[in-house]
Amino acid sequence: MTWGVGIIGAGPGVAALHAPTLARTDGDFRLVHVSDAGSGRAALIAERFGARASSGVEELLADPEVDVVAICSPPARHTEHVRAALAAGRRAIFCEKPLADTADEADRLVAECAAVGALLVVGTNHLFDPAWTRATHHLSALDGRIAAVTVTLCLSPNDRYHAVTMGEPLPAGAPVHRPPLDRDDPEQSAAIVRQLVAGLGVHDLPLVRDLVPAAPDLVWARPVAPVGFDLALRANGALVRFTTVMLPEGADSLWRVSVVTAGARVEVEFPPPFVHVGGARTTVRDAQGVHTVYPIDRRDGYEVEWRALAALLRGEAAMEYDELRADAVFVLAIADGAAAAVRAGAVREEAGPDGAERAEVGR
Amino acid sequence: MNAIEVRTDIPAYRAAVAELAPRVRLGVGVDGVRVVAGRGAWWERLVDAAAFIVDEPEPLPAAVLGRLWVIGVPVAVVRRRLRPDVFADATAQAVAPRHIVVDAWGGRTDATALLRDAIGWARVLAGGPLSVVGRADTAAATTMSLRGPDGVGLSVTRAIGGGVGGALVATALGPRRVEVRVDSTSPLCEVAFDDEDGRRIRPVRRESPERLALRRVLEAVESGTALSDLAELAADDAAISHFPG
Repeated sequence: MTWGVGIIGAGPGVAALHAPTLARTDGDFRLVHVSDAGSGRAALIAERFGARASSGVEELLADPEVDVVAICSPPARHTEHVRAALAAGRRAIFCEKPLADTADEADRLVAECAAVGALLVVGTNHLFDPAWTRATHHLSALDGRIAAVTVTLCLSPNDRYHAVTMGEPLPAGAPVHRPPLDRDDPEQSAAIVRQLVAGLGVHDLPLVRDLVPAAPDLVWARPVAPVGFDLALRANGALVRFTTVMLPEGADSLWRVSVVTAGARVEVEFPPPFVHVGGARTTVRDAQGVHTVYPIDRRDGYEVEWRALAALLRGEAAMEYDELRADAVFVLAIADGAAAAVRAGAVREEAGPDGAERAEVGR
Repeated sequence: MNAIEVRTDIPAYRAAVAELAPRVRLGVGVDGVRVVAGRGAWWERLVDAAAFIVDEPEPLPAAVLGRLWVIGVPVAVVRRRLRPDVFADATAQAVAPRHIVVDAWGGRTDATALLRDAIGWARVLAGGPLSVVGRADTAAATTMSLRGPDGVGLSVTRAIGGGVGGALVATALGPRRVEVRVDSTSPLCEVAFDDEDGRRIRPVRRESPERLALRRVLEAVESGTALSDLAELAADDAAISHFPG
């Protein structure tokens, strides 16, 4: 069976990612409807894929050919659009990350989906990458306690990657006028860090939760210029360091998750966003010094997340509402904690056993 | 020119002496170079020579950090994870780091020195002295947040695992990245630069660490210049000893 997909949203994440990705699902899905908020870009995307276009969500949600609603609107509207889909009787929803802006809202939203049995997949693509499944299997087989997890992102602008998944670029959207950023303003820094953790860290924090599921303590959080954050967590007796920098130019994007146990160091290097040249690259260095490099799976997380929705629709997999809820709450609690730490003084400094807060060294 | 005598019974350094002949020869003269194994109170053995090589020193106690400044003769410190020729490679191209991360993993017996060397790589990539901002420890890991010149942030994580040896990855994040990979399973370190033109890997350094140290200390003696190895060691040790884990 082929399910018709209606996508709410008409940005690059639709034109360069989800719309073409549907073609990778062996006929499970086809794009039938795209809606925008008035930009006119939905019509351009729809024309490329032989779909219908509309403005607003009502027409799309009333379209009888829409079996699956894909919510790819701006993050602040995800909750509203999930609820609109539920209210329209839709029971198969793909929602781009983040699901909601607050932990309470995420909790309520998942509960509302569960109450009506709606199928819901959140586009945390790294969690779906076959390499991550392989890495976690490897770690399980080692039966070793997790000592540390480190996540390092150094990202270049996405538009260089859009070019390899679109025949023609989309016309630029209306310019967004933002006031100049005052990096010395703790409130502004805190808001940016929160947004980055909730919107970017959400790619990998569910992976962290996969390994160290306890509610984490924040060790520190600080902003990184020009746009980024650096934070550390303590959970399940392990330490987690998460660093991200977004740059206006530069090298190919680096996106790496490393996991250390007593017996091995596993490194998972994800491909840049948007591209489809296979999943992540996984290497393992064990205690004997043996390096194992796994083959790169042809499928990536973007493709597999849609296949996961197809499996739910076919009844081949069960909805795990509690996992969805726990992932969202985990991420948003860290986002809130990081923002609070930044607001309190950019870096929450831990006192050492001797009571000193900072050491000047290296002179 | 007379050969400088080198006092050592460590086979790798005796080989280095052979590899640098005729500039050096084995001997016990106080005008020569003494190789000191870095076990125990190694700093007490920095006597009776005109220059020293300290091989893989154990971390310095806080009480000793200040005493080392008064030695006044060239001292080359051999830290195989932190070779001077490799860090020259890593700083050969300008990188404007926005943040620096160092991840290290190694056995428990070497854990303190591994963390010290991870801090050393952070210092090298930052291009100057560091201040410790925070630290957290668990039974099997330590993570530290630091600040470098111009306010650049650094994050260093050391996890316990494996048997002997270990691995270290140091990355300066920016429009141009530099990444250093050191692993005890190979004597060859990897230094790679990434920018918009792609990845360039520096040629590997194939001189033995012992010959490199002996050559550096000879050059310092002959030219009358100082080596900063001991001060850098003390700085890195100070960073990890301020908040003892």
